[in-house]
Amino acid sequence: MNHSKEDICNKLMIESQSGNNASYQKLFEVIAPIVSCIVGKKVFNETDQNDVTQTILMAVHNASHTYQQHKPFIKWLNAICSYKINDHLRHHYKRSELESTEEQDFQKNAFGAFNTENKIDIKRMLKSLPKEHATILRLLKIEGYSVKDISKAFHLSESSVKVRMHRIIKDLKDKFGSQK
Amino acid sequence: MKLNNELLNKITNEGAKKALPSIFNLSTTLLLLIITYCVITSLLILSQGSPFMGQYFFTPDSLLMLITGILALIYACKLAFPDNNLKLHEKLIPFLPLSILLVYFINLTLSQNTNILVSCLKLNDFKCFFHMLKINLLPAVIGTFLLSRSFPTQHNWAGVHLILSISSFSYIILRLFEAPLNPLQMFIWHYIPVVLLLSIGIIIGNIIKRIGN
Repeated sequence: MNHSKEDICNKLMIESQSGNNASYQKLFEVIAPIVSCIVGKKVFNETDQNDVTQTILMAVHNASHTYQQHKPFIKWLNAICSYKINDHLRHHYKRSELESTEEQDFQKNAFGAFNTENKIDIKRMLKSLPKEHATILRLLKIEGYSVKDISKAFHLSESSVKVRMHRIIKDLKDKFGSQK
Repeated sequence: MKLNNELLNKITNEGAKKALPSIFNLSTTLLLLIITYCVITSLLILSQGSPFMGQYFFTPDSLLMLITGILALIYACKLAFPDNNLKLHEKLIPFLPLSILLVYFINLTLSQNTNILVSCLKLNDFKCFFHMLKINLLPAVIGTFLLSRSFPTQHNWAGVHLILSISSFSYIILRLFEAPLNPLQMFIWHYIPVVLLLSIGIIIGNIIKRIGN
């Protein structure tokens, strides 16, 4: 944050608090890129980035009366940014934790029932997938090959096998989750 | 930035809110609380005809609670502004006199006769707890309203400090109407309620977050 930006924002905010709407608009034009830059460093999903940026801008507007004119503006802005970003990340991790538990439950229910043949028709599930995805799923979850073996066989990195598996499970969950 | 244009237009049309009034200055808040407590005390004297035990006012426990109340109020006022993020050790400062009071009570309790201690344990002095709740009600509502008008980023701590401050002052007011029977009685029915009420502070913090932020 360079010194001049701090001065500009400080001046614009003081003018805004005294009722100057043009300064207020200019202030948001100045801080919007700063906010998206701060958000971009901590939130990596593009849709989430836009959401969080808007939430912060809204929060800046709601908290505009708490800015004390003798104090630095950027510090005040940073406090609001980190508060809202942490709030978002807390919700995000809570949500992904929940999703991963649901996914584990689905895997347990679907593949655990393979031997007893009483829940989901695995063949029907495999047919619904693209050929490569079906093979990865069969090798990894039914025949018990490791991620390393599959990555060698398909000339993929281990992480991309994991990502594909994650997508396959999600896809299956969307298609067959309601039929459990 | 095209996604934000609509939002920016909406915000700028509304315009900035004026800077917070001096209500968040410590002196003003303290004055407001003192007036509230004076009204509560007068109401208690008038409505219940409670005996006024002013001679017990300036005892070490009241003094420590006064320090706790003022410190907690200072920190609650500080936390009303988003850029006043406090570190953990700073936020724990108001709990220092409260802890000293705990040591003071333990020391006094241990120096007592065992029979008196047993009789105090049997004493069901719930009325003290309810009196404290009654005294706390109005200042808590005012405090929550004031804090919800600000933008605390550490809302749970702000709520806890607010309740700690209010409960400490209530402790002193309750003390005006009650002669101390025994340190253990004071500890169980006056000190522990103050500590228990802190959990309400977290609820207030969440309310502040929902209303204000």
